[in-house]
Amino acid sequence: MHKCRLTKNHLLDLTLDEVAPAEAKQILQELHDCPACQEEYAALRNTLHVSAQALRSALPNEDFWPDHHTRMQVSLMSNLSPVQPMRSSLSVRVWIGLRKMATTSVRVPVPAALATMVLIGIFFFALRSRGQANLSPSTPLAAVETRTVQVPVIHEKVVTQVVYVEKKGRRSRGKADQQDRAGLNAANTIARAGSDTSGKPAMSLVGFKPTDHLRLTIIKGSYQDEK
Amino acid sequence: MSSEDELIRRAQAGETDAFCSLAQAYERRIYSLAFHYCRGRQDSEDLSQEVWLKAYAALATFRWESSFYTWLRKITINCFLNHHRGGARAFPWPIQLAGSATIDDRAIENHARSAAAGLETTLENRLVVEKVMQALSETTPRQRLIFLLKHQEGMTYEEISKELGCSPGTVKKSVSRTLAKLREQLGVNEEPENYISCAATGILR
Repeated sequence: MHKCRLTKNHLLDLTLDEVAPAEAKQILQELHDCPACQEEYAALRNTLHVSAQALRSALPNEDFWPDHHTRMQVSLMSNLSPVQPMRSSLSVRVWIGLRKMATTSVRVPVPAALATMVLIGIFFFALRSRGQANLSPSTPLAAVETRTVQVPVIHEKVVTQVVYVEKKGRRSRGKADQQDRAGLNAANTIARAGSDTSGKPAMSLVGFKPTDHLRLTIIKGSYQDEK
Repeated sequence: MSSEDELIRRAQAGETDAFCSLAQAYERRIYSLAFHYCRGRQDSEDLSQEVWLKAYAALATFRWESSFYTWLRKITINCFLNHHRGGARAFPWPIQLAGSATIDDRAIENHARSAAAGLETTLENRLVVEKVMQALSETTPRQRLIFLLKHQEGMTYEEISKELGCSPGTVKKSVSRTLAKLREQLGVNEEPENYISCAATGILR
């Protein structure tokens, strides 16, 4: 059954030769039975025909073309002569080829690239080790020169003083500090007295030369840690 | 081997004379397309020259996979689209037949005289031509190019869509819009007695 709307959709294609011959025949058959579609088709064809003729008429006449060609030729000759893409000399072509080869990148699968790199590495390693092996017996031993060099020795003396600070439970901060300071003084006194009473000579710094470097080791802890 | 193939090979070898002979064979088609696309004589001349220069520069890339004209048309389309993107002058209206001469005064004068003789033999002819040009001036450069490729070059929707990188449906829609503009200008949508009688204008034969 003919439907004008559907047929009109195909009319432009029919006018512009965009439908297959069989389909064109069918559409034309439908147009035969529908004056409205026939009129639409005629209008389209007329429009295209008039446009084509108008476009053709707008073009310049025959006597325009020789001049146009001359102008074109002059323009081409003047613009083309310095380019000369195909007339390059051999050296230029070789240079271009080399440059192209140097800048061209080639896609290589990762395993192949890795294998190549490993092989190159092995090759260089082997080359180097062989070079070293060849080099070692032939080269004469370097003369040993003995020089006396004075090296400053750092006198170091480790002074260890164990300080016990008696910790008590929870105290108020100010009071605790006072007590800690008192305890520390007492402990120092005891330690000094202990060394005197044990018969051993008390530690002294006689003969100790101070150096630029001083190492002080502080062992922090309590008697409970010692246990 | 045809003479055209021979000319192409010689041009590829760097013979500019051979290339000029090739250009002579197709310069009318290229100029016509450019003339209808941009309408200005100066622009048409520049555009067609640009096409030929680009074609010469790209001649080494011609691989004989298509005809020389198909390859050349591809370059032409790219040139036209770039020309438009590069801020080309607007489609001039009315038609400049006796405008200021810039290329070559004598040539322009000849062109103007010949065009005038061809176009304006009758007032009716001129009226129809003006209406068609007016309709085309109201389209976008892309729509105009699609219409010209379809209508003047006889390319299929498929070919145009490939060249312009769009769908065949877009091409069809574009042609349809241009045709609607043409029909509107020519008065084809109006009552039959009101629209320009093509037969009377002497254009239709």
